[in-house]
Amino acid sequence: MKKEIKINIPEDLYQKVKRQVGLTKKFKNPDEIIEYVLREFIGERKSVYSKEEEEEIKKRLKDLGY
Amino acid sequence: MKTKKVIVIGIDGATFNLLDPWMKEGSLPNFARIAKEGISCPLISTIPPMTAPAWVSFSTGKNPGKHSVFDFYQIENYQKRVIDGGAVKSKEIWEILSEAGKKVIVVNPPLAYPVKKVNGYLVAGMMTPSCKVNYTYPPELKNRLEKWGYKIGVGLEIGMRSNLARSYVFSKDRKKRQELIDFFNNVERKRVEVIERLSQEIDWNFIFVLFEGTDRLQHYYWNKENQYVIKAHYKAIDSLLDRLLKIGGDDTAVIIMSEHGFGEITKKFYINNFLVWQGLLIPKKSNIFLGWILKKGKEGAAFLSKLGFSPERVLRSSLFFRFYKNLYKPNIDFSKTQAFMLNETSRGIWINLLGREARGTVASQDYEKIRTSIIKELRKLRDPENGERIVEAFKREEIYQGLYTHLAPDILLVTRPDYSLEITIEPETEKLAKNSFLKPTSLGERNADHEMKGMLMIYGSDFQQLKNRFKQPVRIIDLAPTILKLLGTYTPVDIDGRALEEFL
Repeated sequence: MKKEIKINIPEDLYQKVKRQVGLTKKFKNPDEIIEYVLREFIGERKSVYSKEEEEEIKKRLKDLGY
Repeated sequence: MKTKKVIVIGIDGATFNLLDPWMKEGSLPNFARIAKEGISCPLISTIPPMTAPAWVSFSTGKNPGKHSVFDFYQIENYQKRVIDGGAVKSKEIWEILSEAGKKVIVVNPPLAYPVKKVNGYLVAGMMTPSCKVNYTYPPELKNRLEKWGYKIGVGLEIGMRSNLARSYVFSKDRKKRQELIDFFNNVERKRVEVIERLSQEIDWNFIFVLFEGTDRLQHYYWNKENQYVIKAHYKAIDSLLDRLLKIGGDDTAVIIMSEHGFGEITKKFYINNFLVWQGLLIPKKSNIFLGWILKKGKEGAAFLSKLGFSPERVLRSSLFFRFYKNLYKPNIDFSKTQAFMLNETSRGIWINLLGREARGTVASQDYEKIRTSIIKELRKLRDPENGERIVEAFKREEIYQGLYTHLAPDILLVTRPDYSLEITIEPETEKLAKNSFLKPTSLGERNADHEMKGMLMIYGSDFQQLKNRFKQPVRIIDLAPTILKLLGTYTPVDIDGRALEEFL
């Protein structure tokens, strides 16, 4: 289980985010939207590459001199 | 406006430095005709002028601070991680056009994997992991491409530093070089064949294709003696232009462009040695034996001979090459380091910021002081041979604007066009410091690199009135809004570029 902390945000913002939950099927609740936005902001990306694929691409980039 | 269709032909690293003399002598008749009957001008790339950020800035019309692609890599815990298409945080022109109901055919754009749905066809290019994955939209297109003999990304097939390519690069045998030229020509010909076939199937509005062979060859065959290799490939591209022009009609605007320019490199600037000299980077001890061999030059070669090895063969061997690259990979003691560069392609220096980096050493209150000092010292550097400035340095927020600016390196560098950046740490910093951390490029290395000034040609009935060469450059981010305007589609409000009204 991930350790979690509480963050305070203005209520009007929370209500606006909550309204978005109904408009998108991607998120179950406002917390998920806020977590998604923050992960985007810090540039946290889940790579689509497997470890082997990533190594292969790295090798090719290196072969290209990059 | 007569334009109903747009074809964009991307030629990686194409430059007027080569095109102009070859058009003039009649070697490139189709390029010459387009230059004569249309508009041509320099096209300013992104900082850094690299494939990943530059093509994404083209396709989104935005600066990297908004689309978030600064490099092929992102740095995590001092390690380079390659990015995928998910890193592109803005809609690309083919997505916008698709949403507007326009039909698109997109072949070989970098960073298009994982593939997104478009209204038409998309074939992902560079950064696609392999031909085993689904690299097309719709997915069933992949089987047809395989039947047609299509290959994804020249770079994926033959990196110019790969063992296979090295046997060509270092060969002076004309026959072997012809094989290399044929290889690249065939790959690009297949791309055009695919477009010819797909364009028969749908009533398309937009075609994009990227040819990459030019970039690969230009890095290694730039010097006069070898330039015939590049020229032979440009001639093949010239014939392909004719075929692509025939796909369009009177209502088609054709845009030929490169995402960055190209030019000879004469010297390398050792950025990490500069940081060592400033006391900001502390290297770890490297492989002493090979370091000694390299450092001693002739003496080292004599020692290798004594051991029964031919120094020339050792230096040319792929094993040594791999060893060499690892030997001088920046081997940094991060727990004592305040600033570093980990990849040349980013052209970026990172401050080892406490709280942000895993082994950060610079407190937030010192961040600005160190950043300003590095920029000041870099700007002071002059080449002792000609007294000219070596490098210009900027704070990231001076270059980028947008939600993702904070993900860029802290300092961005732009070297003189004929100098390249080197991240390896040479053992003799003091000696390098006397020469402003510059060293001439040596035989067998890449002898040309990317420049900011790429090329642009626009041809079509809406442009023919001008028939001119403009000296004033336009920016790569201006093309997406220009294409959207030509095709009568909405332009996102947060786009950075502007439609080139003066050409319309």
